[in-house]
Amino acid sequence: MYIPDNNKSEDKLKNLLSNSRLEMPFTDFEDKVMANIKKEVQKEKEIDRSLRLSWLFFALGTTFGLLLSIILSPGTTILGIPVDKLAIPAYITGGTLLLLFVEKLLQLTIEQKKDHI
Amino acid sequence: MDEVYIKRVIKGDIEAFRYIIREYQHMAFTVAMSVVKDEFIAEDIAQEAFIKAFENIKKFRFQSKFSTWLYRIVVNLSFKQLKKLKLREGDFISSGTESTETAPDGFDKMNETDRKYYINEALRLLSPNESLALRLFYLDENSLEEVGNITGWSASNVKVILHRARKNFYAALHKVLKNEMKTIL
Repeated sequence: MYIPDNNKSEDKLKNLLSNSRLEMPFTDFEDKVMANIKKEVQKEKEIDRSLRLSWLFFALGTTFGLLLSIILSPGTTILGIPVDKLAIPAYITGGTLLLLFVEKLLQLTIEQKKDHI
Repeated sequence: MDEVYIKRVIKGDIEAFRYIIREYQHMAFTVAMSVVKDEFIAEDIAQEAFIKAFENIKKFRFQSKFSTWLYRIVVNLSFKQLKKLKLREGDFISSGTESTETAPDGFDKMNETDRKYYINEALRLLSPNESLALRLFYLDENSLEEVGNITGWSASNVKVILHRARKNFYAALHKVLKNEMKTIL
């Protein structure tokens, strides 16, 4: 059967290059990779845990703040200042801090979820 | 078989990833060596590639071969590392006007160990692109399209590199054996 020279030379080259596969010379390669992977997985679990705790304390703090604002009656004072005079600055400061914190927490949560998709 | 283990890893079975490492470590190392020409650097690259593959395994959609996807990671990391090594074109062999595309006389009669040694020494003399192209096309038996997918080269670029690589490979093989003869004599 006639085999064109081109095919013959391609086959020869393929035959030669079948010897070009190298063996991983480091016998502990698999264990090293698995050890690094397990470290990464552990780190991810700790980040997840921290995020969940952050949300929990955020919820607790917000609830506590709201309750406090309801409980403090109009007649009471804090350091001699009537509560109703403190209300607006307190709400503005608290509200701003709350929004900034929520934004950061949401960003982190979305980033974590993206990594897990 | 790959699909079974990949799905197990995605479901959270970390140990199932060992199968992937065992199956692909040698070729991943070979691909990295084609580019960086150093065993220790190639090992680091292969390690980093497997870790990246594990971290991103949920993004693998089974639309291509897993090897294509993995070797793409290895190639990207290898060329990134290559920039730091600052190897120059002149460091690699060029056949110039020589057009011999045959193995040296008596090469076929050598024992397998020696043949393997000289072939890999010859590949070491080739530029990263050329030795990579030869191994991906002839050793791993990827199609031109698959080589393009792994390397990011266009189809025409793959053909040009392979054409040059064939010539330079034979030139390198002749050179390696000539040097060996000089050493012996």
